[in-house]
Amino acid sequence: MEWARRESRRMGGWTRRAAFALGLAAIALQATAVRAADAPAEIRIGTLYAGSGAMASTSMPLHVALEWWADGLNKQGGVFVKGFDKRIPIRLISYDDQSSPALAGNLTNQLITQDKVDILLADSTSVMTAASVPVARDHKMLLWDITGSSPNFFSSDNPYIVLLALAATDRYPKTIADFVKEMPKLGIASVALLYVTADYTAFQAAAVRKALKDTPELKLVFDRGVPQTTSDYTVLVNNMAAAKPDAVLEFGYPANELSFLRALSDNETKFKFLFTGYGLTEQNLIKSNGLADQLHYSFALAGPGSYEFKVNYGLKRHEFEEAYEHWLKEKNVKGVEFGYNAIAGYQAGLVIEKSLAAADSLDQLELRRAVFTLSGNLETLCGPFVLAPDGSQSGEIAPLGQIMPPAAGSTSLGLNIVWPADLATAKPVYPAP
Amino acid sequence: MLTYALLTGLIFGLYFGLVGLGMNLVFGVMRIVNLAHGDVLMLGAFTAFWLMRVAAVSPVLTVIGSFVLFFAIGIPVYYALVPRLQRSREPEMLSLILFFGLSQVIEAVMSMLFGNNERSIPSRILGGGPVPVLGQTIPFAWLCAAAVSVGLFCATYLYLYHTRLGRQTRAIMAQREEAVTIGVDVNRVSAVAFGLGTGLAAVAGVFAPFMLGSFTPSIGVPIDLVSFAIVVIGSLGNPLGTILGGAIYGVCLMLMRTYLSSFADLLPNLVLILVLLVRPTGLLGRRVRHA
Repeated sequence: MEWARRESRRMGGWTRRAAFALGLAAIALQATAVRAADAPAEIRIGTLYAGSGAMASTSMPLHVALEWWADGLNKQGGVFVKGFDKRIPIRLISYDDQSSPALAGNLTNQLITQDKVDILLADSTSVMTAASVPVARDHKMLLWDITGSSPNFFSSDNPYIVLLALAATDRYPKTIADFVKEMPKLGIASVALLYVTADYTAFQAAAVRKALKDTPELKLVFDRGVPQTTSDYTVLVNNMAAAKPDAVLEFGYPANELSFLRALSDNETKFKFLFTGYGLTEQNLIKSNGLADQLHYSFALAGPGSYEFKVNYGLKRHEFEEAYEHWLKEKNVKGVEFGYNAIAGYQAGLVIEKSLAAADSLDQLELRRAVFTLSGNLETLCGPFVLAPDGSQSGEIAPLGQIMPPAAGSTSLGLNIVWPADLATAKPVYPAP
Repeated sequence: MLTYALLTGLIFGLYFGLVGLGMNLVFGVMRIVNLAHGDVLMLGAFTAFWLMRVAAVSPVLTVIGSFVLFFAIGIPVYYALVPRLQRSREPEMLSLILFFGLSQVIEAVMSMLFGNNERSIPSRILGGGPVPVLGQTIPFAWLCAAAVSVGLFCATYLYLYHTRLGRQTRAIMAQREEAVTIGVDVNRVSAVAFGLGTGLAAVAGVFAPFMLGSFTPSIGVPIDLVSFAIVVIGSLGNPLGTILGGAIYGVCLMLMRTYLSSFADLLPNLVLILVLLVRPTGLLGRRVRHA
């Protein structure tokens, strides 16, 4: 009897445990079913792009990459959202801000209030992002800032912004700023600094200027800022050459770089050491304008468009380039080149994808928490993804490269990494032949 | 540096005189502000890009070809738009809206067809290297642009002062109603003036890739702003005053780029405000006395 009672108790325990487990499973299943039922029909991603104006050449490749990314995911049924435990199709809601920051501010407001987007992306560059930052903050919407790297956007009291595809501008030129201190060893004594006065380039120039001041052997013989709309550099190049600098450091946007290199070419001016902000990043654009030879022996930051970072998520560079260019042809997209900006668009997609896979809901602060879980763990074409507590990017620092003439029988420019020392593949060639 | 800035400013100014010349001619004759002027210039730049860089057509042929082509395009555009506009109550105000709309359409179509990437043409394509001046250099293309500008100023002068059609043009500029009364065919003369304005803008566009460094479909509106400033500085409705306006703009711009480069963008607006405050009729404008 005792045995029967014990057996009955044991069986009863099992039954209770089984029932409990079944109950839990049922609750879990029901919760999943409820979650799936609550899942939105689509994830609305709002974004701005510059279809015309000064920012178009920067913004369009990025926007096209985002479209490619969304298209690819939708073919697989959408993006996986942990909070709903299912794949949900993406709807990209895009507006053309025509390179007008004022319009970008209005359109950001429209994306939030009218379109009620779940994820809000800024247009590329600090100039355009600046308009979206306060609007997003006022509406308590997390701004997925792709390349707006101005340190002014980030503060400890604003949790509604994260920088995805570029180190914050005060950190981005770290390698060239560090390299400035090495310049006297090459025999460089005087430096000229020419920069666009927009946030992105002015901060970089400031970082380099500080490094120059910390290096007493170097003399700053020319230091000029120009408006971003400057399209002719002839007089500036002549004035700079008259100052006879050993090294020239130039920071501009792609359109400025093109005009600057055009002025060097038209004046047949050569500097012994030339650094350009976009020399590597926009090499295809520069090549297509017949200015590739101006880049020979020049220096530039080897960003993701030219330097292959180790990847632990997403495609490798050549795979992405191939897929992106195939898509451009398939969709008959004209006038858009593969380069850093295309990679930045893809990077934004990857970070969104990984974050949604880690987010318990679409609540904006939960999304921010999910993005932060990637910090230090995600390595993409842009480099290691590391967020500072204020949401700015501390990773994705590009090494300094020297662009070499094409090898015999090749048309592609070569690249030597010259700084930092642990990544260097060659010593810098100075003076440029 | 000062002498170099003055010299390059003058050369640059001659080119910008050409940029504003067509706009002022059209305003002088028709009293309409053609805000699609900058977009015609952009189309001229694209024409030069394809003809000179892609098809390797000679620069001389490109300049002549662009002028003829856009002159021919300007005539039907005139007949399609301007007479209707002038029958309205406020043609000047409506012209702003209509041509701004046309400008946006041209820009959008070009962006869709050819993308927004910057395009440029190497200066060497014009057949010369940089010219040494005062120990510095000036791109050969700048000298070509200045020479063509001077040639077109002279041609415009000859047309306005030494041809029957030109005299009729000036008659319309001075007193439209009286010109009609004495039997001037206003539509025909205006159509030619509109064609000339369009052709001049296209020729300015041929040199835009050399003078502006690079171009995109979006350069139209900024060019309009500069053109308008130049035209107002010289005098609205006085095509030859544009040369003076261009020279002042060019010299001021180069001085700003040399000494205060960060503020160079402010220049057209500052000069425009200054001229409007001090001499609202422009530097070569005639005073109007109202009874």
